[in-house]
Amino acid sequence: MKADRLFKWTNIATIWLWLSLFALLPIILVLITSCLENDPVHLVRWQFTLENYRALINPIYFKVFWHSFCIAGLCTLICLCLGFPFAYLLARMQSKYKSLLLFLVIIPFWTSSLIRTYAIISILKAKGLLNTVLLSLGIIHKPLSILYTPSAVIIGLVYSLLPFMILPLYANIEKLDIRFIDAARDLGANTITIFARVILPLTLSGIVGGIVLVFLPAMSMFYIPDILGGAKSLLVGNLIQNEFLSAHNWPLGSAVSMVLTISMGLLLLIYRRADKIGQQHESISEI
Amino acid sequence: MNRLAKFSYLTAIYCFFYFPIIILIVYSFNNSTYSSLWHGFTLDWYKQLGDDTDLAVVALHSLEVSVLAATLATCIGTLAATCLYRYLFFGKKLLHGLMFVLIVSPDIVMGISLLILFFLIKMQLGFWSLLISHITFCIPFVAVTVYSRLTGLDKNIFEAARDLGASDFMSFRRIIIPMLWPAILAGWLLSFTLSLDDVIISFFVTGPDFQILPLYIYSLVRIGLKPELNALCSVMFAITLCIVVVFQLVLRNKEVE
Amino acid sequence: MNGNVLELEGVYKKFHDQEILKDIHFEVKHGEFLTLLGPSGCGKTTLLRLISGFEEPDGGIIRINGKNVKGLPPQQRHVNTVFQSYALFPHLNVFDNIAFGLRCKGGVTKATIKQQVEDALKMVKLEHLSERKPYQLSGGQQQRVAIARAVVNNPSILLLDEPLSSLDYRLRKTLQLELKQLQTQLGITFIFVTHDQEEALSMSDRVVVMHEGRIEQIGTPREVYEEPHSLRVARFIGEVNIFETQVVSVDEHVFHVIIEGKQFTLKNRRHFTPDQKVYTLVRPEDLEVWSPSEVTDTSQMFPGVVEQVIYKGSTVDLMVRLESKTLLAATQFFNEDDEKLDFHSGESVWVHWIPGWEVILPDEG
Repeated sequence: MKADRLFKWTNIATIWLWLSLFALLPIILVLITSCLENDPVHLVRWQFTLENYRALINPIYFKVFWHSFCIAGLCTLICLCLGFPFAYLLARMQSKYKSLLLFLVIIPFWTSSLIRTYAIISILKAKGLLNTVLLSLGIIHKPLSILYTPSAVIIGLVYSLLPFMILPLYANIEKLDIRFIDAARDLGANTITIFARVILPLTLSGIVGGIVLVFLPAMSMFYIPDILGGAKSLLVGNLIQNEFLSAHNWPLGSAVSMVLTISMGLLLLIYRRADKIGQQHESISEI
Repeated sequence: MNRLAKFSYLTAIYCFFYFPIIILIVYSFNNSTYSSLWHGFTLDWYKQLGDDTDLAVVALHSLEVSVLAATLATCIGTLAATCLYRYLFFGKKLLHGLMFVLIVSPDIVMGISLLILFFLIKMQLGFWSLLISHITFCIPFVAVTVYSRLTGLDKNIFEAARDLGASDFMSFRRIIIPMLWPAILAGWLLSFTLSLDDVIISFFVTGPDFQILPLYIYSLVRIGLKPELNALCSVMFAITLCIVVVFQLVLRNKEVE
Repeated sequence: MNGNVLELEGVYKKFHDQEILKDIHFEVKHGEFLTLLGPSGCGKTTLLRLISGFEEPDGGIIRINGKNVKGLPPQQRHVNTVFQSYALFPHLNVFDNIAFGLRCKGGVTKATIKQQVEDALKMVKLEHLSERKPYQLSGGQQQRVAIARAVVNNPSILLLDEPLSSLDYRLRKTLQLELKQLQTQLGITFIFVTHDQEEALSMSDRVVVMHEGRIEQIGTPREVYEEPHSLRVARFIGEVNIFETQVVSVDEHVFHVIIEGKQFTLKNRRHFTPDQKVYTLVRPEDLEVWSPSEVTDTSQMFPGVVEQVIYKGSTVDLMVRLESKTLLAATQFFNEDDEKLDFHSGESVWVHWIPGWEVILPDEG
C-alpha cells in the first residue's frame, strides 16, 4: 500500500539522514583532518600528510598514552575487583529488598559524574574531611596530599565508573543458571575451581561489557584528571582537549582521536568475540 | 562465605557510593565557607543560589536544550526502533551497528568530530550546535530502550493489526505508541538526564554566548570552591533522584500489567 | 463462477534453499470447515500464511473468490486470521479489540460499530465482559475474543492457526464443539490448522493431511481414517497395526497372501502383483482377541501372549506379542459384565480381525 511505503521510507530516510550527517560524517571528517596539515590561521591546510601520525611516534606522546593506559587499566581492574563480587552478591540475593538495592545502585549511575567528582574533592582536599578525621584521630600528623596526584585521579575514575561495571555484570549474572554452580558443587569442585571454571566463563560477556564501558571513558574523560589531578596528570582525553582548544592543532588532535577510536574498535571486537562465546554457553543452558 | 561478610561488603560499597554525596549535601547546609567542620545549619547558600541571576539564565538554557533535545531524540529514536524492528531494508545491520557504536563511543571523539563539522559548515557555536549534538547522542539510547521493549512483545500483535486492516501508520499510532509508552517515557527521561549532565560534548560544541549548567559547574569547580556550589550540586542531585524514581515507577508499573 | 471460495494450484514455497511447500493443489467450498493436519514442520502454518497474505508463494496461483490474490496484502483479501497466541491488544479492552478492524476500515459510524461488536460478543457469549482487558480474561475467553475480533469483519475465509493448542483438555473439548457450532451458524469458511488428529477428525468437513510440504491425502474424516492412501497417513491418524504381507497369487477379485505365516484370501481393491511387498493395516478396534477356550477354528488367527493391559476408562488396550515378535495393539470396549474381556498379562490368546476391515497398501520404498 502506498501509504505504508511512504511511512516506511520517510522514517528510514529521516533516521539515516540525521545519523549520516551528524554521526557518520563527523567521524569521517576527523579521519580526514588527521591527515591534513596544521595551519595557524585557517586551522587546516588542504594538504594530505601523515605527519601527524608520525609526530605521535614520540616519547612524549608515548608517555601520555602509556600513562593513560596504566591509569585506565588500573581503574578498570579495581572496578572489576570491587564490582564483580558486588554484582554477584546482589544478583544472587533472594531478599525482598533486592529491587530497592538495585535502585540504590542506579541512582549514582544516573547522577552527573561531574557532581560526584566534585563531592570527592571536599573529602580528599588538604583541609577536607578525610584529613580532618585522620588528624583528629591521631592516625596521621600531617595532612595527606592525595589531591592533585594520580591516586586522586584513580579514586575519582573508580568512583565515577564503578556503576558502569556493576550494571552490565549484574544483568549478566542475573541470567546465570544456578544449576551450573550446584552441579559443580555436587561433583566435588571447591570454591576456587567453581569460580574459575564455571562462573568466570559464563559471565565472560558481562565482564567484557563492563570493561568496555569503563576502560574507554577512563581514557577519554578529561575533566576528572583535570579537576583531581591538576596539571600533572595528562591523559589522552586531556591531550585531545589541549590540542583542540589550546594549541589549536586540530590535525594532531584528530590523529590522537583516531588512535583512541581504533583502540575502541579493537576493544569492541574483543567484546563481540566474548559475547559470541557467552551465547554459546547460554544456548547449552537452554537444554 | 558467611552472611556477615557478604552484608559488610555490600554495605561498604554502598557507603562508598553515597558517603561523598551525603557529605556534599550536608555541607550545603554548613554555615562556613571553607571549613570541613560543622559550624551550624544555614540556608544561606540556597538563598544565594536563588538570587543568582546569572545562574538562573544558565539553568534556563540547560533546561531549554535538554527538554528539546530529549523530545526530538525520543521521536527520532522511537521511529528508529520501530523501523529496525519491523522492516527489512538496505543497511539495516549497519544502522544497528552504528547505534551500538554511538553508545559506546568516547564522548570526546564525538565532541571534536561535531566541532569539526560545525566549523566546516560555518555554523556559529551556540544553541543550535548544542541542540543538534545533544539530539544525536541521545537517539541511540532511546532507540535501544524502545527496541528492547519491542522485542519483548508478541510478534503476532503486529500481524493481527495488519490482518484487521491497519496501515503501518495506524499500527504505529494505535498499537505501538500506546503499548510502549513506558519505554518511550523512559527513553525521554534517560535522554533528558544525559543531556542535562553532559560535560564533554557540550564543552566542544557550545559557544561563549550560550552557557549551560554542567559547564558552569565545571568552571566553578576549576576556579575555586564557592559554597554556593554545594547547594547547586545538591539541587541537581535531587532532580536526578526524582527522575530516577519516576523512571523506576514507570517501568515497574508496566511490568505489573 | 463455481462455489469455491479458495483455490490453490501448484503452490510452491521455499525458504533459503529449503523447500517448504511443494505441489499444493486443492479447492475449498463456501461454508466448509477444512482442517490442515500434519506434524510440526509439515508446512501447514506456512500454507496458512500464504492464504492470508503474510507471505507470497514462490510458484503457483492462489485464488480467493475466483480472484488471483498475488501481491495483494492481507488487509485486502477478505481473509482474517485467529493467531495461536490470540494476539489480543493488551492495552485495549474487549470491545475496542473487537472494534479495531471496523475502526481501521474507516467510514463506519459509531452506532454501526457498536451494533456489530455487540452482535459478535453475543455470538461468542461474552456480552458481559466487554469492558475487561485481555489480562483479566481466562484462556478460553481470550480465545473467543480473538474469534469475535476476526469474525466481525465478515471475512470470506477465517483462518485459525492451532487456536486450541494451549488450552487444557476439558476446555479444548468444549471449544471444539463451540467452534463447530459457530461455523455452522455463521456460514463462513473455516480453515483450521492443527497437529491433533483427534481434533481434526471431530471438527472437520474435510481434512488435508500434510507431510513435509506435500499433501498426502484430502478427504472426509471418515475417508482418511478408514481408507488411508499411504502408510504415513495411516500412521499419523489414529493407531494402526501394520503387518508385513507377501502376495502369493492374484485372482480377479481376490488375492492370496501370507501374513505372519498364515494364508489369507483378501479382496483385491488395488492392483498388486505376485511377490510384491505390501502391508496390511488393521486398526486396534478392529482386532478381536480370544482366549483359547473360546475358539475352535484358529486357522485364520495368530497366536500371541498378552504383554500389557492398559485400562483407559471406556476402553481397554491390550498389547499382544505374537510369536514373530510383532507387537499388536487391540482396543476393546470395556464391559464389566463380560468376563470374556478380562485378560491378564502373560495370558495366551488368539488374535484375528474380520475380513474386509483391513486396508492394504503397497510398500512406499
